[in-house]
Amino acid sequence: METGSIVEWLKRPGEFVRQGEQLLIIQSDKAANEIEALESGYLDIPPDSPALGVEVPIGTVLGALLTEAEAVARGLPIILADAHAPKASPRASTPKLVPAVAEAGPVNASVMTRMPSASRDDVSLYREMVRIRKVEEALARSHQQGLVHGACHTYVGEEAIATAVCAHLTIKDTIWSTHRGHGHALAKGVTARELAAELFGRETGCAGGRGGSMHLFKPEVGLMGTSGIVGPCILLATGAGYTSALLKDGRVSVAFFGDGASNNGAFHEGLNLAAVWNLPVIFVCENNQYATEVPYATVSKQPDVARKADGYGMPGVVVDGNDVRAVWEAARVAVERAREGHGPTLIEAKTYRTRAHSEGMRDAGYRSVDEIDYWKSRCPIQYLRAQLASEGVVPVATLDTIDHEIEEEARDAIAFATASGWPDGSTAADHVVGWKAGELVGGAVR
Amino acid sequence: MTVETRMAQSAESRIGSREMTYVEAGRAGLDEEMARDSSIFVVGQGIGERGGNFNTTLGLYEKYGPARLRDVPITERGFVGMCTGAAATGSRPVVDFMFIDFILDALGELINQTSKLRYMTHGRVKVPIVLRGCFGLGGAAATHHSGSYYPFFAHLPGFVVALPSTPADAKGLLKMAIRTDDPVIFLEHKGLLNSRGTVSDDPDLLIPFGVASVRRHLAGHGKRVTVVAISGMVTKVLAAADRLAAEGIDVEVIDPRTIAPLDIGTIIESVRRTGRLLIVDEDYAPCGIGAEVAAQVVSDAFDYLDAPIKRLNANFTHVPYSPPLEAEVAISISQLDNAIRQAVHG
Repeated sequence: METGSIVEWLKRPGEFVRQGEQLLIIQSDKAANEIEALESGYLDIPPDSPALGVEVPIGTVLGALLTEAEAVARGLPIILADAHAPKASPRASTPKLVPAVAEAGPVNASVMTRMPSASRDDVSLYREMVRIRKVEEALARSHQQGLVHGACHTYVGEEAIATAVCAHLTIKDTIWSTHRGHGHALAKGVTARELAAELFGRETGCAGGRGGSMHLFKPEVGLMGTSGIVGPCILLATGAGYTSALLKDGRVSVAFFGDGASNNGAFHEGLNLAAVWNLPVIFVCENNQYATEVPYATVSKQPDVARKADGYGMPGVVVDGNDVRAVWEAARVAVERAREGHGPTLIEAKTYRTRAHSEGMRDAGYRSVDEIDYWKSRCPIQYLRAQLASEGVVPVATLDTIDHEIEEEARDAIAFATASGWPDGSTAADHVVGWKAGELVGGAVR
Repeated sequence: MTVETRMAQSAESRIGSREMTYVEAGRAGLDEEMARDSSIFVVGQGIGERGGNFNTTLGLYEKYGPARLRDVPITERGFVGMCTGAAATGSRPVVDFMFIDFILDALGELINQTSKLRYMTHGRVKVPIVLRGCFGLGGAAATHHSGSYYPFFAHLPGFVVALPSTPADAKGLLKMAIRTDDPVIFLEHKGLLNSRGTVSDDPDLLIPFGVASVRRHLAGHGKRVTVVAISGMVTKVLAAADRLAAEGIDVEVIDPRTIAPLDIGTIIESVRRTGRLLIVDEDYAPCGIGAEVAAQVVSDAFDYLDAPIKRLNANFTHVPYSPPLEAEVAISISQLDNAIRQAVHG
């Protein structure tokens, strides 16, 4: 073989490619060969890379796998809608990619004062992902014991996304979430105790026991709601963006939603409005590949939700949703863009839920055990842990300590929920409206 | 001149008042509120420079600009959901649907999000949003532009449903709606838009929800009947009452002004005086406001009734275009007069 041509790139420019993953298909005079990546990195396909089907000699450079720093410096990762690609900001050209903190923070690092960090704090990201995982596993056990009533949709396997996006938000920024929202709630500042108590239906829950798993609220920290209806969060986040644009309050809003919502009319209407009015909104599609049990591939011809962004005139970004660093970087760019008044971004985080759609539901017939096992092997927590271990900056003992602390926090949350009182039944009709018949605003009678 | 107008004139003589149309009164109220509170914005089709299909925002774009008079794409679900999120985060949207028929595309957002957010957050999030639109029969607007729909919203917790019948009420109820921290459905009958009346210049002209207006009191002679009239039916019933006085029929006319909340107390007081009740509503009869009023009166004031409660509604059919067909669906003058006679004489 002396020459070959590219049949197809299996990865997109800017996409993170793991060592061993299939990268592209090359046609030689003998056969079509899938070429795997010999090392991990962000794919860069330079402008002078040969076009598909063009025969070139062996030794021609087709592309490169870059380090994160190099990728960021080139305006990557993974901008699909090229015409609207955000320009690399000055800070992006000098990224801080080395874990900055080696010590674990206090167990309950106060979310009330948490501010987004300009540099990535891998230990905090690790801690938050572990918190979501262990609290949810404890809640799943509680569900089996009958202590959680009604539905319980876990976020297990998807923790990197909420963790990385919320790391860029203050408590004044708002997020609007889905039925799979425990992770968003925790990452935005709901405590494990408040979450557990809400699922237990107790008065100490973050919605006073009114909501349960699907309806979590804590407006005091910007958790404006998780929802039992697929799609509206996109519109509500757009509206929060409208308030910020109108009142110039400097906030951004985030809609978290799944691949299921991307086929809903709310997606089209909300993204269009946010784009045309340049609103400070980040749309985060957590593509876990199944809308309940319907495979995304069977209901959408376009495999990348992010590509739809181009239709609305906003950047669309695909990231590996199980790589917290990749999501963190994509969110950094999107949040910065929104705060600077450049408008919305659609981030598609490819991921997978490794537990059933809802606790107690049969999880067979629509996906294979092999597939689930594959995604379990791509656990975002273990992936970051392995990265940190190999980089040697954060001692493994530090991570172990975090694990133990979070286990204790989860135990404490369940104990707190169990010990909490039930809501007073006589309050069931409270807060339907704020007005009273016959009264004027403020309670005056005319 | 109605009793209501006379009262308004005497009580507010110090502040001053002007005669204006119903749509002008609503617009004046909106203008005053937008000048007072910069977090108020309006969305709708053609409500910007054009000033609204029904002139609801005429001249306001020049004063407040595009961010506060926001023309939107034809995406009712989208902008209702968007405005709900805006209301929940500190602004005060007014959604102008033009024809209220278009609200139907947004029902899921309205019912599952707009009306429930305050409750679901345990009172920690407020949703101050006004949803206004023109409704009702008339003008050969045909099947997709002639609906009423208000009982839907009165059926659900979380909504105020306001149906002003006079220019003064259009202004006072709209200002009240805008200042309220909850969703208000504000409906203007197309047939009322150019009606005229005296409206106070009081910058705090507010009409509370759930307070009915007795538009015509008993004269004290003749056979008595209470007629509850909704929105555009009020002026028609008042005219019928004038006609039927010559026949010895003494009509007390109640305008609930809001059907959610419903001022059943004023209706029951009237029934205690008259013993007879007719509800006139251009919307459909089944599961409608008449059914609700009748059920509550039977439940709470059965002993005062001297005759069966009657309802008069538009025909239970979709609305056709051609004027003779449309007229057949609407409540005619003779139907109205006969319905009042039957309520009195059985």
